[in-house]
Amino acid sequence: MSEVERRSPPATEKEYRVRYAIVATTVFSTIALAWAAEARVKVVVSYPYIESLVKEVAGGEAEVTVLAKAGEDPHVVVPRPSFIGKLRQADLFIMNGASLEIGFVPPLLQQANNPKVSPGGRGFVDLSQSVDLMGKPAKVDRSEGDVHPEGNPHFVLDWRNVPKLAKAIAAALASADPSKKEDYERRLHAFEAKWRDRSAVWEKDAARLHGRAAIQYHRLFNYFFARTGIAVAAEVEPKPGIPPTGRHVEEIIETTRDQKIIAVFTDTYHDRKTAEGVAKKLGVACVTLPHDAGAVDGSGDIFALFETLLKRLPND
Amino acid sequence: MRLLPAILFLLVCSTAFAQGGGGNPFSQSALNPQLSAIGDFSLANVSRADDAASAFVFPGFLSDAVRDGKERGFNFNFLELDLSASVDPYFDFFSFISIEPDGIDVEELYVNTRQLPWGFALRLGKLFSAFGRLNSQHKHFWDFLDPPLVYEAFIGAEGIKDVGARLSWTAPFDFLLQVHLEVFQGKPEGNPTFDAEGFTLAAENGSLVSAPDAAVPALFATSVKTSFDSGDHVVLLGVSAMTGPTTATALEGPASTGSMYVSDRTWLYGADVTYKWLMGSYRSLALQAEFLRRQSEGTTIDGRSAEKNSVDKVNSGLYVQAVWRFDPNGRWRVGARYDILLENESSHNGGRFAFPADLPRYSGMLEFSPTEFSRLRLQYNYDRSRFAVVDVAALKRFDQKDLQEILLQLTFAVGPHGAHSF
Repeated sequence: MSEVERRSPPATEKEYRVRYAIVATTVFSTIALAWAAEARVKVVVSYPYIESLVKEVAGGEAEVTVLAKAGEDPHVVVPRPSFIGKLRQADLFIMNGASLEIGFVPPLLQQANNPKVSPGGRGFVDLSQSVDLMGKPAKVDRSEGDVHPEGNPHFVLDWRNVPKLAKAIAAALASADPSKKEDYERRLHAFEAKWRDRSAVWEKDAARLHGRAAIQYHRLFNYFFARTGIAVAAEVEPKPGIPPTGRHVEEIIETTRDQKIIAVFTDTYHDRKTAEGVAKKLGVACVTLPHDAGAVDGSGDIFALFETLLKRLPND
Repeated sequence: MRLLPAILFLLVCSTAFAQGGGGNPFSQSALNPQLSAIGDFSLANVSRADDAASAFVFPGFLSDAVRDGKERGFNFNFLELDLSASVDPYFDFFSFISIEPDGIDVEELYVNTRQLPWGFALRLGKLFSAFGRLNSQHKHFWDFLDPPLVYEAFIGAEGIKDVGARLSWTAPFDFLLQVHLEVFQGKPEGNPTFDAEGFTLAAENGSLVSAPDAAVPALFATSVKTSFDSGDHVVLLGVSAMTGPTTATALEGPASTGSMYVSDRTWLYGADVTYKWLMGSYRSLALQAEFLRRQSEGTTIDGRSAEKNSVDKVNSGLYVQAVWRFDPNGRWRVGARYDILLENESSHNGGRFAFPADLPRYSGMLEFSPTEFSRLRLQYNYDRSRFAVVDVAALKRFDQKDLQEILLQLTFAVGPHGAHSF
């Protein structure tokens, strides 16, 4: 027996372990809670215009990754393997839909192994579900070129569709991060108000071109022309996704000579040569329009996209 | 008559999918799986007769020549039928059925889990191994009509596909890091490297040598893939390893026809690198290289005397290729490939047997794709890797034979839009 009286016996090894565990747990949970409070919603979006809308609604509270590059063909984005890692970590994946991403998103989502953002998951958002699509083909057959059975997928270019998209995005953000629901709603309302003001100006501006007609390279700007009252007279492509032929070019020139064509409109990713040739024959300008936020200089966000589109429409 | 089952299958498919719609109030045609079909034909001009070309060997590599799509004149190569759908909220279903002139091959038939947490996914069924860069790609994704020599020599015409399971994990990083673990039954079809099947060899001197099937599942594999990109430059790297038993017919050294090679543990290693420079929407330059090495310790059993010899084998090889998509509409591609089988060593009972090594092949191709659903490809191969077997007094000798091939390939796809992987 020990002769030493011990008023408070030193802690046994087991007690030390318990104390250590308590301290460690406290430290870790404090860090985790602090991190969770700081953690921003991780959002992956397919196109830059969606990024711009997410930033409008989420402010700085979302970390956004964009898959497509602004000036490139939205149909043929190269599925970089790093996108798989980004989708793996995402809380939300917001895409355009209507088969625009059909060529690159399915294998990315499949390999990301993230049920949250896979079809059927809570964080999977298809914006085409929030708007009415135009140009739904009566006959779906590839002899008609690269047709989208759901209709024309470039619906973002109608400014009246944009608030519907913003609303869908706000709802998705709120479901991913309910603690900030009110912030998202507040910013959504601010965005909607600003959008109403700007689009009233655009409506007035576009009125000058009512009843005129345009030629476009691809069926890319149908929504924009419909909103501005400009008729689409022809496409430089004989069929969606099919490069132009000499015969088709002659046909366009023949059939549109008597219409009041304002310009031949092309995009940032197709070869300009044929479009320029058609414009020259018709004696009109060949104009490059942005199809997405940032596709041309000065069209960086969703507002600038529409400002640029309208600014680039010829004046007479 | 081998086509009869194929025709029956097509009939069943077409009646199944022709139904639905119309006025049937119980029609569930909206729930039909996605069905797409890919047809592949080629026209070949080869410098040697088909019989001669298909009898050529890579001495020491245990493999048979793969002549798919390369017989003189017109070739029907395959009709691939792909069916896929979600089974329920927990599984996705995929099947890839290849109908070929010599029958139907269920290339893949598997389910993928949809809901596993922490970045895991399971694939169960019959599947291509994730080994290497090309193994899991179906033929119509290849950049050339034929597989690289290393694939032909180590993996066979059909790729490593077998019944089994794959567990995949994707890391939560901003770059790609993926790990795959696989287990297979061990009897992949047409594979020169792995086979768990037992055998009986009746030697010419009347003695019988036999071995039972290896314990199954017998084939195990792992692979790690990672990728980084900076601006328009993307790099994808992979390393793979696979191990399992081997049962193969062998042309090993001074042995006679009907000899066998067996090993209860063969290792196959692979390393691959792909670099892509993306130039706008339609132009790109892709460089790709892959190195494969096989190590095997086993036994040869002479087909004449049933004599057994212990053998150590080391084989390796690589290919390097460049493909440039160059025109403004992205319809044209031009490519070159250099193949070489490098090491080819066997030691018999401690003594080294020198097989021919450093066997090259040079290929070039030009491709025109009117849309992404149709493709016409012209390919030229100058192949210096093949040997004819010359039997001189039961002592095998190998004579190198040049082979030149001009191949015109037509591929077309119908049905839902197929997506592209990187």
